[in-house]
Amino acid sequence: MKKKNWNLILGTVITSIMLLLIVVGFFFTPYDSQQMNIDLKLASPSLAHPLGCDHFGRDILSRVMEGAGTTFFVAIGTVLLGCVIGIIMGAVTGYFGGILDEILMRLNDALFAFPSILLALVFISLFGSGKYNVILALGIAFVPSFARIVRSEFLRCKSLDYVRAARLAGASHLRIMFVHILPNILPVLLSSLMIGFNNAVLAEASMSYLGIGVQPPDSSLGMMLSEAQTYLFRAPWYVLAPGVAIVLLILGFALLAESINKKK
Amino acid sequence: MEDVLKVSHLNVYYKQYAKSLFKKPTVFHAVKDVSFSVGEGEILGLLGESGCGKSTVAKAVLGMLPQVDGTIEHFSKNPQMVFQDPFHSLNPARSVGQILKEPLRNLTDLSKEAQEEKAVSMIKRVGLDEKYLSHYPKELSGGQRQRVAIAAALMLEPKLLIADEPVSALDVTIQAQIIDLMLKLRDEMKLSMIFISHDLRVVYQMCDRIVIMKEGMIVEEGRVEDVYVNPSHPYTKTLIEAANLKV
Repeated sequence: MKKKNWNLILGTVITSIMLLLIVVGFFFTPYDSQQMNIDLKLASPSLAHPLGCDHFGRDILSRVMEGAGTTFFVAIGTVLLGCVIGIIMGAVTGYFGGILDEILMRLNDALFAFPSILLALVFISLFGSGKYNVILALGIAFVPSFARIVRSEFLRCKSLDYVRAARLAGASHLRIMFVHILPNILPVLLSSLMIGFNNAVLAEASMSYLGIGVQPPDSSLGMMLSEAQTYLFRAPWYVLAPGVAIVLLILGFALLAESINKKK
Repeated sequence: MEDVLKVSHLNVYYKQYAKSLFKKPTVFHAVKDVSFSVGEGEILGLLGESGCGKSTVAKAVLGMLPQVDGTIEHFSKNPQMVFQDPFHSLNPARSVGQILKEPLRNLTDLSKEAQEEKAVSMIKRVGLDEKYLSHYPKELSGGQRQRVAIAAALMLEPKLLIADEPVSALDVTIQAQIIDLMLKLRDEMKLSMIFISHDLRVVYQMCDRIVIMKEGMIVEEGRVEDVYVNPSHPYTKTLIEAANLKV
């Protein structure tokens, strides 16, 4: 009998719960996430407020739903941006090689040498903060890792017989790169996309925690964490809610990535 | 008989990077002054042990090497190649139909329907059912894959086909089928072929003329019967003795 792929099952369950929470939070939250109520300041979890209230008396469940949405949006944007630029760069350098490869990959190395948070910090201080700048900053920082993976896969594939055959069949270089080779590296790309997504969630959370990420009135999980740390002992549920949300978001995708790797 | 290909004084050098920082890079002379021609409808066998430069000659003829010395004259358009291992020569991400239509899409301006029609007739010609057009290479056996590879190479109706050990990765029974298929297609389409192999029996079955290579040089050339009965070069003699052929 085939062994059950627990990674896949658990990953799917956790990810779908989180996605459901995010999608529902996009259209509907139990309370207005901005509405303050001084009577409910740091209220403990109750039936009316299942995850309690924060220091302004705002409902934490509503804020987690909305914040997870922001975090998710930023992470997806970051990964897609990094991935698209990374694929183009990796494809060109891996396929053509030569002097262009040397120049682009050394630039890549230089970019890679910076910690991504530091790089994003420089970027933010130059262009200002906010959701879209965070995506841009982190996206650029994520390019090198994708470029490397794509480049090594293209290097492997370009000398295979089916690429030679495509060449004889008159396919242009561009067509060979994106129609003949790219579909064959998708499995590798998919698992690194998921790992990249996790790193992006963490990076967004840490940037917002440092106060240079998403700005109020938007809320994100990292921002909630940084607000909650002051009340760590008076209201532990406040810090637990966004923390657990981050953990679940990452855990779900990490399990999915692992299951894809195993399948190969 | 007119020639479809004429190669004269072909030389190919490979640069080998130095193993140590203090040594100079060496140049490996892979193909040394090779000249031959292929006539219309003729199958030329290119024979020799591994590493003797057979495949390098094929690559040079198809323009896959960046730099070669000598002249290669083609008298036909779009020469094609069938590769040794059908597990590597078909793109696993593309269906058989897509693989067959690829050259038509790139090099002709046939309509979608005409392309489809040609793909159907070609896959039947190589002895496969047209339902295989929607299959992916991994769903096919080795022999079926090689049939698809041959079909893909013939889509543009080339006059010259280079077959680089097309049967050596297959079972003996399948080998015979593929050889029969190639001979049949030769007659139907008036194909010329360069048939690269290290198997003397297969070459004897297939070829009209053979060229025997050793260490990048041509050591013997002639009609198959003549060479097999009356080998002149000592290397050819050992080859034929080793194969223990009854001619």
